[in-house]
Amino acid sequence: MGCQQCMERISEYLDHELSTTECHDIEAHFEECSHCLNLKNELNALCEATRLSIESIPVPPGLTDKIILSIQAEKQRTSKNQWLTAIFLLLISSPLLLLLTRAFTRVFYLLYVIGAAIWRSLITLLSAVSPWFILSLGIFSVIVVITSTFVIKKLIHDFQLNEVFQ
Amino acid sequence: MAELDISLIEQVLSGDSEAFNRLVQNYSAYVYRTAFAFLHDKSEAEDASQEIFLKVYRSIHHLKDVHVFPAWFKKVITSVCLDRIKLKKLDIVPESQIESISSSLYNPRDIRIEIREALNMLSSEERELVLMVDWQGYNYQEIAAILKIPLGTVKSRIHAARLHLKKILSDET
Ligand SMILES: [Zn+2]
Repeated sequence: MGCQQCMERISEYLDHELSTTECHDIEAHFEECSHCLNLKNELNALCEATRLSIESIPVPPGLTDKIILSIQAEKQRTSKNQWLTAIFLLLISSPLLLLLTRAFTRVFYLLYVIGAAIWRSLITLLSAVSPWFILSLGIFSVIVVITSTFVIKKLIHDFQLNEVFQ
Repeated sequence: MAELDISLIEQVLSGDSEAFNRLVQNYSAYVYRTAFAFLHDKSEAEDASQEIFLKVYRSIHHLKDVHVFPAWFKKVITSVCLDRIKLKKLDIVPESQIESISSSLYNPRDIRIEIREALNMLSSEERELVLMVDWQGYNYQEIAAILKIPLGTVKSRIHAARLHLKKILSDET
């Protein structure tokens, strides 16, 4: 390795960016060339001195308190925003809800009647078939319930409510 | 950076607001010094520190793993500082004024202050590179990714920046 090549790679050497063989090559050059060795030592000392000079930057008193205060202000701001959003949504939706109440009770009653009819016909149907069929039907419905709760849980997990508010 | 306290980060993630205050106490000096080294301005560095902790406060809850906190935190600090440098370039302040004020306040023989002044005399690109490698401890690959420049450019520019810093310091004495 020549001086030119060595000098170009001193920083990489100091920052541990060279491969093991490249390290050996450059170290071999340092052994025989005091000029490159001196430059390496000087740059190494400079890096260390840079770290120390930043480590000794005076920190203004009361900085921590200032930061904590700004975070508390942020907290109050977001909680206020959440309340405002909730009230706003309620105000928007209340006239719609009032309009819908009569229609809703009718729909619910209709659903109830249909449900009761289905339930009654199911009972008469089930009393006619074998108990094995009922058992397998039960197992099947348990599987359906478990998989659907899993899917719903996953959906809720992926949806982050606080992002909507922010 | 101060020794990472994993249990403290876990407490913060569990929503303990006192724990977040302790996080600020532990790291505010490191954050301020880093911001000052990048920006070389007291009030700018204070503002940047506040901005950094607000960013951490807003998004720390998205962290899935406590162990990625140090790298993530370092990234937040770097990105806030680099963004502010970009903005600063748009309205340049007379730097010579700042230098003369600060050098008259301190003992000019203090090598640590001399280096800080010399860092400020580098171009902002050179200063960014020196700070990212020597102070923040990024490797070349990470720097190339953050600054979106080729690895070869990172290598040559870091070396050139160090040589420039060395020259500034030897010219002063
Ligand atoms: Zn040589």
